[in-house]
Amino acid sequence: MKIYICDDSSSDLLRLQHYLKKYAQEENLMIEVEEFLSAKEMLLAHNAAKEKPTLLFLDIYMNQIDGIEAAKKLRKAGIKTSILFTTSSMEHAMEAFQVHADGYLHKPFDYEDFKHAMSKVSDQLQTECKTIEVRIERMNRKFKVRDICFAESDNHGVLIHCMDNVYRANITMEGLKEQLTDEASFLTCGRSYIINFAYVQEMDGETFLMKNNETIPIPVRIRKQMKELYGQYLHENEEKR
Amino acid sequence: MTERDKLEYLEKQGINVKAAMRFADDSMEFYEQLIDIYLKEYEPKRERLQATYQNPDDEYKVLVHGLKNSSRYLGADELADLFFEHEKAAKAGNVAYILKEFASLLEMWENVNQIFSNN
Repeated sequence: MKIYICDDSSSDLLRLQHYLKKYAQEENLMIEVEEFLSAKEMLLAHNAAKEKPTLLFLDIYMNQIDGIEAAKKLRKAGIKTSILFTTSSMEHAMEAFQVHADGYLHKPFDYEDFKHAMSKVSDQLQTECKTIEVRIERMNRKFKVRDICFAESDNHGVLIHCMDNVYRANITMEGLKEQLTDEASFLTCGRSYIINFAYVQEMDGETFLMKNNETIPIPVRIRKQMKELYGQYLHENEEKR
Repeated sequence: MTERDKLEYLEKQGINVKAAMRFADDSMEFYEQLIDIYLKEYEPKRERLQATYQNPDDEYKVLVHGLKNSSRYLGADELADLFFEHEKAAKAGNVAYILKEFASLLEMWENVNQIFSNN
């Protein structure tokens, strides 16, 4: 998982890097941090990056493009990355609210303040990093939960559909369900499928069209329930933004 | 010099060691890394302040704002307060205050640098 830190102060970059490393160790998160001394530099890197950051620390008070302006540019481009602003004054609180910032870190801050701010985005970070381990062709393989599009029962195993490939895992549907039980975006669809709502492209009442262009049939008896649950998922995720 | 000696020296010089160590996650090694950065940035930042204080623009505001924070993090509270006064004056367009107090700001900053360099 990638995290960007953008601050025109080298010592603040170092501090956040230090705190993030400690936090990642404590929370067992795999993170990769990239640092930027200006918003312009960060925006250019963001545009070019194949893997976009999950979290962005943005200093507000910077020369040329300030943090609020940078956040507005990202939001305008449809980027929904979590943003934590770092600042020593609250005068931009309203603007930060308007760009859907996830929180503020008020300078000077210590590690406890940092952890408190991180608690606002920790669910998302955990989801980004969570993996499941399944056996594929006699080897154990880890999957990032967020990369699973849907799973389909296949004789005594399960086909795990990702955007780039399909993997046959030696696990039962029940076993997989158990591993995904805490994941809010995963839902059992009939006996044969577990789908990740995050990958649904369209729902027409009878089927889910997934983002990998595969179609999943919805059994008649649960169509109404599925429609409600999917609607609820969309509503909750819209609210988060 | 042991870690304890270093901290005692800084405390005697008026540095708020307790706060600084809290911000440095109670790590002397990390605190010293932050001091190194602060000292390295002194010359280039002083030059930019000198180039902009007579006609304080956005750059002056951003500089004193940043120096306020980095000084505060290291426990140089009095200097941080003085940078804050300059930040407020720059935001309010109070050029007279900046012109009048600029020399004493530089003097205090130089002193703080000396304290950290001696350590």
